[in-house]
Amino acid sequence: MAKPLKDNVCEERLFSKLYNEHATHLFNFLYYKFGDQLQPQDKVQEAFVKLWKKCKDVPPNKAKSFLFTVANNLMLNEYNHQKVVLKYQQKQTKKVNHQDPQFLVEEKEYLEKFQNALAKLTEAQRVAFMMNRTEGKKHKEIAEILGISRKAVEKRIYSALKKLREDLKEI
Amino acid sequence: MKEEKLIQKWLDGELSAEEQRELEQLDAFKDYQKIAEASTYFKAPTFDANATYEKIKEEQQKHQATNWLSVVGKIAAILVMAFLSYTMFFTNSTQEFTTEIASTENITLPDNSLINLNAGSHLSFNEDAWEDNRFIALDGEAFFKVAKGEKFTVETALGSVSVKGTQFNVKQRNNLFVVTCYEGLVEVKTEKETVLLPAGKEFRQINEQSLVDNISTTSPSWTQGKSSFTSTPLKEVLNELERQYDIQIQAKNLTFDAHRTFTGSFVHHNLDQALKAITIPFHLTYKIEGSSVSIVERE
Repeated sequence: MAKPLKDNVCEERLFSKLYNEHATHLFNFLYYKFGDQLQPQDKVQEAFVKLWKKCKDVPPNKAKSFLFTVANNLMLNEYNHQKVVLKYQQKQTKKVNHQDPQFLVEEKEYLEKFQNALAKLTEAQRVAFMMNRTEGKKHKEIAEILGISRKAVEKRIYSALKKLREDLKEI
Repeated sequence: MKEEKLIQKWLDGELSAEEQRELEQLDAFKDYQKIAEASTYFKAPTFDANATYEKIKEEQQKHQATNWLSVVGKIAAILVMAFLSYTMFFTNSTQEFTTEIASTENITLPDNSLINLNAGSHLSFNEDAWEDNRFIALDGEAFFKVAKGEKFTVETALGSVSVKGTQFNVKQRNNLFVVTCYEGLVEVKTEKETVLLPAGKEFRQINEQSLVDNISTTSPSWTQGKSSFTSTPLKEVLNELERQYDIQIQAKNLTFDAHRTFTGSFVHHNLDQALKAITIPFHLTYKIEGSSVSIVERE
């Protein structure tokens, strides 16, 4: 591997580039993994502040894993393995035209069931699945963000899909 | 196995049209589609990247600010100390310089004028008022290299010397008042008269008798480790010797009448030589005992 041009991330421009590249991914990762009870936005902020304070010790190519590890640990410090409940949005879709009350009730019921099913997924499954289905990211991108192989990503998403289907069927 | 591959391709959005039709044949596809549809409702709240970055920057600045604060604090502390010691030593901002026996001092004035203060002399000036009023009080002897500017005055007990940018020497010892001008023009003011002294001239007043004489040197000899005299009373020469060497001269039996004047010089680094230079022309002998020197008439 070529020696990186800079051996730390103390430069303002480099730091801001890292922020633009990773902040949103990091936030989504934390959100899908832990939900929003533990303020993922604050953890992102804290992780970047930590990166800045330790900027002399962190080479640019290690910055991402530093950020994800730090943010994840920050979450785990507060995390007490409660059920992760992700909120669903009442979004206005193209179905607006035929939203009869019956349909709305059914849809609401289904989303609540879905919410519970999501909570039952493993963290790894949920993060990969949500990044793919909700954020619309390709397997390759997810593999890069999470720092795992594409095969692992495929496996996690597929197993998440199967588990969701089973859970939703049961009820 | 084939089904899994197909689904994974679908999840990754890589299906061909044919594969798409194949997938749609699967029993489970309707469920999967529903799941996929539902999952779009669970989008993470929008991450406010800008607001968070602002907060991070605040933290960064706080981090840097603390460093700055400590640096600024140190500087401030040093300044306060400097100011305190300054005010303690120089209240009224009067700068004073005193030279001991056998030592000279170089002084740089606020306007970069240079003063070379000869041994056993005292000089003071007000630093605050310096810009409006270049005024120096002198008791003793000093050589001045005055930077160009407003009127520069040296005040002594026997008279004052005023100049605008020049080099001159002022010597006031007891009743002796000698001003030597090496460059430019100086104005010498005594109780009795005012003399304009051009370069290369020396104003001498001894016991209220004054005269202007020519000089051949470009700087006073004492700045080169030598004291020179022209028709100077012996008493004054011996006083100068005491100032340049840490000695007491016993000369009780000598007569110091007005005719015993000395023209010549003595060096500052060799007492024996200096004493010889003074005593021989007057037919005197001397004896050194520690820091005491007795001078007597030759038998």
